[in-house]
Amino acid sequence: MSDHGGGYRPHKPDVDRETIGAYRRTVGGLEPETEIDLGLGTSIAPAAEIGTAVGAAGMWNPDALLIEHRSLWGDIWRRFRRDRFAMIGVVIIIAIVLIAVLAPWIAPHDPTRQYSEGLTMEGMPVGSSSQFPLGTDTLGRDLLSRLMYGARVSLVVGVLANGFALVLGVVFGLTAGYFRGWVETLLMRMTDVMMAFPIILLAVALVSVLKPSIWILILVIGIVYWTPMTRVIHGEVLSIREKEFVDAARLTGCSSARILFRHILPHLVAVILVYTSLGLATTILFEATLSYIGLGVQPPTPSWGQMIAEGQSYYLSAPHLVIYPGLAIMITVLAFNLVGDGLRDAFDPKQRRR
Amino acid sequence: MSKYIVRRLLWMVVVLFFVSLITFLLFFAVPADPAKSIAGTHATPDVLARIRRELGLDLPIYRQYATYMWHLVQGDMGYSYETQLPVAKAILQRFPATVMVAFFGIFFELLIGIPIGMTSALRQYGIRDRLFTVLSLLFLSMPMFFLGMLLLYVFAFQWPIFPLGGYEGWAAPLYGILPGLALGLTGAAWYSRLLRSSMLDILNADYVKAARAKGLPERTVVWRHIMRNAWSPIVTLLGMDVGWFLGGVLVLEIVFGIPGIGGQAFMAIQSQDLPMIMGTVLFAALLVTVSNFVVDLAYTWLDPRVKYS
Repeated sequence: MSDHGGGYRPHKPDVDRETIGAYRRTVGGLEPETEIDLGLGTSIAPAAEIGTAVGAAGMWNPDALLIEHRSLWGDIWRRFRRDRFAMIGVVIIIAIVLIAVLAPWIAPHDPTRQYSEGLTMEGMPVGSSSQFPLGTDTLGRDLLSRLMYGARVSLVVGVLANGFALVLGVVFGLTAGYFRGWVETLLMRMTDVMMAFPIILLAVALVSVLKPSIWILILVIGIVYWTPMTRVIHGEVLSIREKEFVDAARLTGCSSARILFRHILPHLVAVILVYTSLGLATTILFEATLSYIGLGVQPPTPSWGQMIAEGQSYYLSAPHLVIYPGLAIMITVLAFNLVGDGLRDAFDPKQRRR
Repeated sequence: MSKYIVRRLLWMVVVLFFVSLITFLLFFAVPADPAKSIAGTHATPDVLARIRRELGLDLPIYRQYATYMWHLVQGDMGYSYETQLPVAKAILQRFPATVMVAFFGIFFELLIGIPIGMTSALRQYGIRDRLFTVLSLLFLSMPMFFLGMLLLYVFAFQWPIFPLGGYEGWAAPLYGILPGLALGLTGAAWYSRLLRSSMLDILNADYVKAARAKGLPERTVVWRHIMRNAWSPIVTLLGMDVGWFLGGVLVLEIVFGIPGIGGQAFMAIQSQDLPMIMGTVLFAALLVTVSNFVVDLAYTWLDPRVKYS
């Protein structure tokens, strides 16, 4: 176990800013202050189970007293599964993924088709009916179908952008943390510069340079978002590289690459998993924000942020145009936040937050 | 200490230099011609050439950059292509609206976030803690522009307590409340979660037990012993928020129709207004770096154990 068992840990300004990082500054997102610790790989059967070794008939049954040997991941999984909030998150995510994948089959209408019966005589969107379950948008398109297809954009952009940022973060963070010296200085100073940038403006500028499309969106969010990932990984590597097992590996003549990927990287799995989940929440929010500003996927492809922007001028008379896509974003982001929180608690039971 | 301050200040200058360089290069990566957007679509090649010459756009990029930086060092941020106004003046003109939103944003963040974080930590797993945990997750997951629109709908349209967006100067602070709440509610979730976890780290420390054991009143234990050490992450977050909010929160300015500097930069990017883009981006970056610097200095005051190297 590491050193944060009981006593007070002074917050070093640098480390704190690293973790709090730009997560907050991108549109919302992660909680800082994550220190994940892999628990012991085994646990000893609790006293109650020893009691049962005596058995119902009072007969001594030595087999039942065997210390139950659990795997590390088994323990984590067990803790995660017991977390009701996290399970709700998992169920929501599965549902959203299914909706996104199956959209062409389960959506009641073509999301881009403009129905003449979808508008009133005055050209206003109609409310919910049997034909249009959630009503229509300002162009007479079915809102439910657009929401379902919108889930695709959010998930694809969220997953790929987050993955991109993660790869950059892991590579840069590992390199900086392990090799130290000028490489570290260079990389970490780069993150300083990135974090001073007004992030939304940087994204706006990048998108206008490269013309909006789904791939550009992924690239831009990834570029904006690699800094906090790098800083988190860097911080973790700094503490891991001082551990004895790294020295041992070095002494037995392992190459740097082997030490990095076989000895250090496995210890980062916890951090990476937690930050992937929380990072997805952030990137999805970010995508929604960029789409809302008009820099996301271009019409007629529906995305939630863009739907809100389109409904904005009507929303005092037809608030559902804004509320449904808004709820869709919120529920999706919430689900990833729940899972991320749950993972963190599962990896580090001592730091339970709920 | 003074050595540290000098080094930090120098580093700030370097950061700003790189920010300006990246912005400049990014601008020239755009395959568009600012001269065209100034002269309009029907301009003759002669006119375009003259405009380019006047603005120095016909020079190589490094010369343009050097000229810009030379003027900047002398305190001259140039003139907007679009409005012909001095950039510094345009920014300062729009700054009060941004400051008002930022002020209310920070105010609500702290007002809501800190008491909630403290209650949650001191009554961990209590009913209020659970309620606040769920609420803060909800607000954390809400896009700020969506929350802003909900607030507008409920508190400006259904119950017309506040104006439906806009800005009428500092004399009419009501215009700042809803945007401030949109910032504050999403932000408070961060503060309360952070404060809760940082207090929980400390709550069972030996010195806190000692303070209780010697019979200090709970109020003293909480404020003098626990909070003293729990503030640091909050201050970090605050420093980042101050820098970020003062740089202009673009989405909120769009939702509430606030003429702040975020929207100005946004328009400048879209109309290829180079001096305006440079000016606003550098101004925002300056605010971020300065507030981070102030935070780092504040640590020594909050926690004398922190040493700078």
